[in-house]
Amino acid sequence: MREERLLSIRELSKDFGGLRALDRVSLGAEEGKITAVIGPNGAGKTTLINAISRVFKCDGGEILFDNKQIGKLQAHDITGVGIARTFQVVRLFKQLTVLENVMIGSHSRMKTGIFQVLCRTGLARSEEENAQKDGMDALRFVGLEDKAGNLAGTLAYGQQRLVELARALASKPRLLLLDEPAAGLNPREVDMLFNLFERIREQRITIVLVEHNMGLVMSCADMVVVLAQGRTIAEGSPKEIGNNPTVIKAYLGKGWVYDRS
Amino acid sequence: MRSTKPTTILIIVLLVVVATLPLFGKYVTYLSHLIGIAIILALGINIFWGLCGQIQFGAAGFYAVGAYACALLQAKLGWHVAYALPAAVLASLLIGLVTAPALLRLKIHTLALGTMAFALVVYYWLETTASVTGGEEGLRVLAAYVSGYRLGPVFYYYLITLFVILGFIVAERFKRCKIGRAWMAIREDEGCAAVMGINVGRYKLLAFLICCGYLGLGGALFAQQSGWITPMSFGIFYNVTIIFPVIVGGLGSNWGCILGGVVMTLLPQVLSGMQQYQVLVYGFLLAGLMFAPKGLASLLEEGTRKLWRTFSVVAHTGDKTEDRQHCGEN
Repeated sequence: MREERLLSIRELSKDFGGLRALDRVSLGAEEGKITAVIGPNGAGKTTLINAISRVFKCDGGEILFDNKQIGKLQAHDITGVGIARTFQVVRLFKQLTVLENVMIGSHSRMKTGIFQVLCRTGLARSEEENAQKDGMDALRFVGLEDKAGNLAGTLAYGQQRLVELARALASKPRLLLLDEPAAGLNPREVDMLFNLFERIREQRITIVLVEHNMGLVMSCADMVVVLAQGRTIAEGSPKEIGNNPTVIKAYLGKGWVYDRS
Repeated sequence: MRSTKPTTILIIVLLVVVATLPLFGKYVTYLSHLIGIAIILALGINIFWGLCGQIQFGAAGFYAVGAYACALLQAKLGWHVAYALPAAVLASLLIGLVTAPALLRLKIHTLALGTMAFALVVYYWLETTASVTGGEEGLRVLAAYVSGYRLGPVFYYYLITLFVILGFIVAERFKRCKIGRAWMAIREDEGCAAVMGINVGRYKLLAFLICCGYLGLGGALFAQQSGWITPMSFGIFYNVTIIFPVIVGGLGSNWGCILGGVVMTLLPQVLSGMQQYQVLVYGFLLAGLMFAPKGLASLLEEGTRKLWRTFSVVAHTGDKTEDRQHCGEN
């Protein structure tokens, strides 16, 4: 059966020793939409992101991206396929400048070989210029173009998160995997993130968003998947999930009120 | 740096000195051989360790491979140095290729031990396989001739200088392109670099082989320069001292390799009268790195920046704010 969704995860399982982190998880993300993955800590959300971004091999199931199996790819192949990600705890290259960090996002799109680069052929130089231009565009998108020359490690935490996002965008992905991008951000910064998501959606980039910030999730997600203890316990629109008693019991809490504002 | 008259004059003076150095005497020429080779070695190690962040405690091993490969081809097979030299570099690359699968899967501490183990294996093989390598006595490297002219110290001065310049340009080009960025990404965060699209294994191998190449070249040049090579020059402690120029100059900086090469070669000469204080001075030097962890190159950079700032303030006092030029970073 031809898969309509851009990303399709079928019966995915992952064990860490005796711990079953993912237990036959199945979910999908439609192209151009924002799919949120929520759930308590230890539910397997980051494991899911790691699995899709091929940080490790899974023990069962399959991952389909654009109708192709990607479960056997190596980590460095995923940007070439069109998948980019950010991390739960910011992982920037601290001793490099902000622009250099973002330019690494373009790495897999630069095809020139060693000798061309060393001899500074026209092709190599134009590729480098393009990477720089794309990097500055990505920085402009997140509003940090004036920080391009600063060392990444010197930026404020919220800004570092944005640089990570710019780095992911520089690879011109079709799918963005975002692991708790709002963690550690103040409300104003979360608002900014929301606006960025809308602009990303306008470019038809698909987002899979792991998040604890329910305000952000409920206001921007098209689809919400709930994980708990390595299994999917619910899937649906934000409104459906917000009113789902199983979800409220497992994660949202009795004090939860669904209010899409 | 901004191109102004004082800088251009300085550069011209330096170029003249470099071009005419052999005129300053045999001892100066001899020292410049050592400095040049130290810089070449440092540039290679800087690529693997400074840029790519992989510890290299076995550099003397590849250095020895280059030296002995060249010497053996000349002494036992009668090859001319013009062929023996590139062949020696190739030999170093081949040995690098053979050891890479074992070494490059190691990280940090185990990599340090692994590379050192390699160097030890080379050293002991050199010492014990007397039939091939001459054992403790070593190998004699006879002078080569081209059209009747003897290739002596002056020739090797220019050859070494040429390799230093080429080696520096290549190292700088690597640093400022996507390859250098990829290496530095691996240095900073290997796992993240992989997910960003960098084939970590392949880039590590590239850095490793380039380092082997530089080390092999340095070794071959050393064999010509010294005329007689013994395993003593490639002993275990040399693996430690061989990296001093890079560390003192600043890991990651190619200019630092030049500074470090000069300083660490001249230092023992300066201290030769005070043998017992040598270790003490080295100790202080390394302890001093606490104050300048990025090495001499960073001090120099800061120094020139502060100088420029002071110079600009003095030169531009009285300017209107709009006219004041932005004296930026290098």
